[in-house]
Amino acid sequence: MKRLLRPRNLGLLVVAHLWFLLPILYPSGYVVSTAVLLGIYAIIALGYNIVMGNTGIYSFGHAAFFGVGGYTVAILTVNHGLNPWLAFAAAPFLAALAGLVVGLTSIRLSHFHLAMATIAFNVILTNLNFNWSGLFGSESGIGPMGKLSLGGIRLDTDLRYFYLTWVFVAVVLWLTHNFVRSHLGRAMAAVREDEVAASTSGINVVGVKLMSFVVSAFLAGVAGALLGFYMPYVGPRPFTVSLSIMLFVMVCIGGRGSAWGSLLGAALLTVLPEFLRTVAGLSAIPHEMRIVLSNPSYHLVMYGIILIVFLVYLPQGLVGIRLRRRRRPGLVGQPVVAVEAVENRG
Amino acid sequence: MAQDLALLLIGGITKGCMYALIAVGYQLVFVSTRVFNFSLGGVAILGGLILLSLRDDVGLPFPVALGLVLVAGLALGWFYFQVLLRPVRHRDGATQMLVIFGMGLIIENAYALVWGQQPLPAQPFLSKKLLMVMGTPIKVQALWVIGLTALTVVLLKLLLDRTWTGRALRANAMNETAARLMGVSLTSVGITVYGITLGLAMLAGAAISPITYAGGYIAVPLLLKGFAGLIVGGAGSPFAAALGGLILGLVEAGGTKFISPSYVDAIGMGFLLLFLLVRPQGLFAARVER
Amino acid sequence: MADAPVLEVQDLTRDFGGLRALDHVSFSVQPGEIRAIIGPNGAGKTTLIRTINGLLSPTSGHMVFAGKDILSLAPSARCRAGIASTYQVPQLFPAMTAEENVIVGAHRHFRSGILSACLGLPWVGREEKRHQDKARAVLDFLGLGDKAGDLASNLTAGQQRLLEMGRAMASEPRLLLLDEPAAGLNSAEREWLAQTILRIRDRGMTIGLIEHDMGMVMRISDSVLVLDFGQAIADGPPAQVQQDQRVIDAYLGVEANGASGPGR
Repeated sequence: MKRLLRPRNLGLLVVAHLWFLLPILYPSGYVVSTAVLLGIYAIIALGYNIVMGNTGIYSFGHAAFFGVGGYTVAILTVNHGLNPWLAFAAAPFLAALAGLVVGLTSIRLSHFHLAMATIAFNVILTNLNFNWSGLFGSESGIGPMGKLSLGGIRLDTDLRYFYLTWVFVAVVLWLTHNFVRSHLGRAMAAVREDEVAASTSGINVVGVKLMSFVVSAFLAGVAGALLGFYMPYVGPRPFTVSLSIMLFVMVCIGGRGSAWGSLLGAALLTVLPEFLRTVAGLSAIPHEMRIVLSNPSYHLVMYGIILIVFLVYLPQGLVGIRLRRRRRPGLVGQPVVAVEAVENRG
Repeated sequence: MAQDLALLLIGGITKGCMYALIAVGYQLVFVSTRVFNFSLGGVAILGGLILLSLRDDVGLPFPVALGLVLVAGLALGWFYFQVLLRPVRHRDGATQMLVIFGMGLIIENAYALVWGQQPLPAQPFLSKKLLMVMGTPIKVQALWVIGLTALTVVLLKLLLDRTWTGRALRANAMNETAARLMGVSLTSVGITVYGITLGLAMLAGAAISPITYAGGYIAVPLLLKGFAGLIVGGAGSPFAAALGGLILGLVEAGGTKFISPSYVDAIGMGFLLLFLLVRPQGLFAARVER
Repeated sequence: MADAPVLEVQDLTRDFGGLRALDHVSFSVQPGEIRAIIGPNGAGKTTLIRTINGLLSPTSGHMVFAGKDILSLAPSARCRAGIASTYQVPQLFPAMTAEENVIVGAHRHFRSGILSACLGLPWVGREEKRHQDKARAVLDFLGLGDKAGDLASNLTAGQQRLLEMGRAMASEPRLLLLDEPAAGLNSAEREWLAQTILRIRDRGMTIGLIEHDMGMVMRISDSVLVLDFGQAIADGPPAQVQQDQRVIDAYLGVEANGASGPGR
């Protein structure tokens, strides 16, 4: 905390104040609802940054935990009549449990295998969501969803939900910021950089990886609960692998390991489709282009292009941490010929 | 009863052949470059769609169209290695995989833009006839698929074991520096590997499209199922990988019949996870070094 | 004063398929000594270190550290038990600064959990500060004080070795294992290294040293274990080991001033 320069702190405070005045400055329902979604995605992204950016685990199935959060509040309130806030409290813990299960099965796998395993989990859950009407209500989902109330005020307008969501974002931002700066965050970074060196330094690598899975899943569950009480019904579509991929691109372009970077990445990728849709609405655009621009497939194509561009030219992302460019096992910094010649099994 | 079982077997094996071809593609990559290809699912479907267009829209006869699909796969492989991966050639494996992943993302969604979101029905290769074998109707297309798969796997194995190219690929995987010193050109290895892998994937998609559909949003499950074939069978040889794919196809067919058709993806994925947990080196494991 | 040995190894054997890398090796390390392990290339020295710090499991044998059997412990558990090691090629965290690298070494001493870390409680900050100060002190001790804020990847090879030692020291181990720390260093760096190892020992740490630099070994170590083809062929004070015929034969003519055999 001491290391943050005062001007930067002040700048952030100003931006934060302006942001919280957004619904008043731009009372358009469209803008505010986009901002709510942005906040929800930001929370997942902040959690995902911990597991992917900080610990270096390539999970492509985090939408599943988001889904666990959403479906938990839906099932508990609609099917079992539970108090909304109790359901809200339960959702992140169930998501964390799911994170534990996925983590336990995947962490010993190598990068690619692990990525595939996480996608597999996501696909399984999506498959069940779409087809198991008894529990998940199939394609139409579960609803109609009730709303949260705070001190007698029902949170059923965009404006009120905006503040609820962004208070959560602020809290999560503060918590994850502290977490990443702590010795636990440092241990995660060590695991990312060199697992063997980390373990011989006393770090329980498996424990650290599990912890990052569970923490990120917990946060995704929070986001899922928030989404649940925002939408009229909870269905399978928001929780597919496409979202997992979007998350990945968000954190990659924002800057792996940086909380603010993840926020920035979330903002860019949430705003991009809306921007394209707005452009499509302009009268100067020919009809064929209009269809393409509003097509969600086109958005994903853009994500792919953006991802590649960033990977090639800006691997540290927009905010970025110091990422090493060249990876050669065991060899750090300037290659010293004598060192290589000596390495042998003595 | 016996007929049902036979139909099940044929269906499972046919589907399994598609997985087998992709799994073999993965195996080739594993044997030569250790950079796994995240885009094989999308490329496979692209193959099916290209075949469809070449036959229906352009009116080309089937053998020519199939040949062009293969050529397209090879060309795409060249593109991958020489254009896409060139700027990240010296970066770590994870970055390269992610670039391929991005490309896969583009392919999977670009074809939806060109061909539409709905899966399209495709014409069988030669005839829609059904052969009666021991009282069971088998689509001729299914025989095509099985035959094509078997031929491909055998050819690939011969390539790896008998030809200079194959030896170069294997040498490159074991020790890149030594291989280069012996005159193996990194560029030609890269282009060859990617070309064959993507060509195989395209062929897989083209071959299966008359039986299922061309297009549709099955790229990601396909990606995973090809990988599952590799895991189940083992990365030691193309035969092992192909067998893994076949087994997966059979398991899914069984699941479709005895559990429910809508959960086929979950069943296939569950099978993959089981293997990753219990026997990640596959049923026919390669020589394990300790 | 007969203290219990810090480390006791009995009948340690490790096979790699048909190759026997360690053949019933037995020795002990006394507290506060600098114990050197030498031998020609391929003698099994690195295999031995990796068996001690847990990266390899022995095929058979016993290992007792500070009175406890440690063979069942994973590498991270052994570090927490008090064994720290450095490697032939320094295993550092390149994207972290020198100071951060050292602080990672002190991981086992941190008490904060997830909740307290997230909430940023004051005592967490104090603990962090304490370890930062300790890390600075270690870096100063090693002569790297002015490099504290530099990325580990930007240091020279010699500095990286010292940094790795700093990380190992930060865990405050009872046994510090150094695997060929002098490799690739020039003579001035070797001199500083030798002095530093002595100073570390003077702080009360027990050191296991694998080295090819015979001169350094003879000068600073208290006792020497000689391996050849996985077997312990000599064990005793440096002067005695130097005269041992089997040792001389193993090296095919090692001279006292530091030149070593055909492997180099």
